[in-house]
Amino acid sequence: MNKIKVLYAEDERIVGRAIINNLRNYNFFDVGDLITGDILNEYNELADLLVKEKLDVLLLDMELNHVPDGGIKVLEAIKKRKELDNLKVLIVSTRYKTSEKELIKKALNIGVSGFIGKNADWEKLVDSISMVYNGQKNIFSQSIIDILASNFHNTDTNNDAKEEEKVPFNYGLLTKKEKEVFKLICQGIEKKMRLMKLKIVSKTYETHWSNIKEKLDIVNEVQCLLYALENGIEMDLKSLE
Amino acid sequence: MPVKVAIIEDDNLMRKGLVSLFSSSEAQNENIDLVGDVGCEEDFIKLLKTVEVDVLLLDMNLNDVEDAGVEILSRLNKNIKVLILSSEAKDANLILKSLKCGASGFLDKGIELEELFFSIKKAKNGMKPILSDRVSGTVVEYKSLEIKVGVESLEPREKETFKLFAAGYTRQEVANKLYVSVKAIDGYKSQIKGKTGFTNPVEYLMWVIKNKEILISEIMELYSEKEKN
Repeated sequence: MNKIKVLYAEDERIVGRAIINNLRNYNFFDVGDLITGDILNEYNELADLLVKEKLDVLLLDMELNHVPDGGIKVLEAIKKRKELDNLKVLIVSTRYKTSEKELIKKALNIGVSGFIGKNADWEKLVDSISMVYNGQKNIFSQSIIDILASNFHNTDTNNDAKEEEKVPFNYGLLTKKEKEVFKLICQGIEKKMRLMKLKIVSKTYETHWSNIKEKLDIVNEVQCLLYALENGIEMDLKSLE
Repeated sequence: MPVKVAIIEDDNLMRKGLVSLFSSSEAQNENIDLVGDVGCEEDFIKLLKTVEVDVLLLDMNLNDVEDAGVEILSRLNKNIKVLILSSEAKDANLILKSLKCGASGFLDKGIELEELFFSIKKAKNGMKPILSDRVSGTVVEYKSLEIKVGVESLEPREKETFKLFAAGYTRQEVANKLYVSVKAIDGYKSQIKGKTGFTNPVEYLMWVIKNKEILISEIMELYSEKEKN
């Protein structure tokens, strides 16, 4: 069996070294040395390093050397590299604040597989790494789900985001099958698995999906998830706590 | 004899990670022994009934209570040396408050493992204050200390008083040490206040930390002398 190659980028060295040290006790992970220091803010250099390392999963802190959205900048640099298309990213952060909702949404839009709090159970971290490696998305700590579900507006909320949250409650218009599709998307299950669970072919799936988008006035899967959370639709998301 | 260390840390990932670091060969080479890890003060008190602890590594923010560490610090047995481990290195008042409440040192989570182990051993030997670079940087920049000068102009007796207080001696202890009355010590203190503007021992200490090279070795000696008694 191939080992899952994992790297961790974190400015708090003691935290990084502690977590890496314990991850190395699991023989199905191959954990490289901590990425820390000035390179955390040299976003393109960091992306170069990741290309060279050929890793599967990156654990990434959000605040990097006092840059509150440093993690976002790393994600953007990763996005620019074709070689990193298959890299899965899990954000690991101490505390997620309600005021960070826009930051979390932004990270989701760029394409993270999940968010973990440092107060998560250890076994859940281990499971999550394996799951995202296998293509699972939308792995959240309960605190993240609460934040995404809240209708908190701060002063720098941009207009787009406000529009998005004013979407009328059209969920009732979905057919039974469309609701199933909707739910699987929110759960972050990989597309091949969705087809298997629904026992449908790709073409049928796409029809359902474009109906959902039209009825709910959304354009992508991240908005699908946000729609569910903001309108309190029960989704059985993978919770970490 | 190994140094017996305990941890209070509420974040599971960090706590388990630290435990694994302390069971690594590096920790064993340093002769550091983890005797317990807990998530809150209550469990630490229970732990103390079963084991002896030399140095406590205390997380500053516990269970979403900011500065929870300071509260715990003020309630702990003074024989246990406490090193604060904090994500926050920029809050001079918090650092000051921690030292005032008896912490041996204040470290930020950005330090290297080697420095953590080294600091633990220093704490065990009664040294203080043990500050990481970023933390002492904050102290150096601490604005309210900048305008207060005049330590050089203290008379010899006042200077002795200043050093002893900075090293954590009580009024009575300073009086005994200098063979004078407590009343005389209070007199020296008000002289110090007049000349430097410093009103309490923590400010003295902060001044010493800020002006690293001056007095610090003498203060250290006084610390270790106090530890022996």
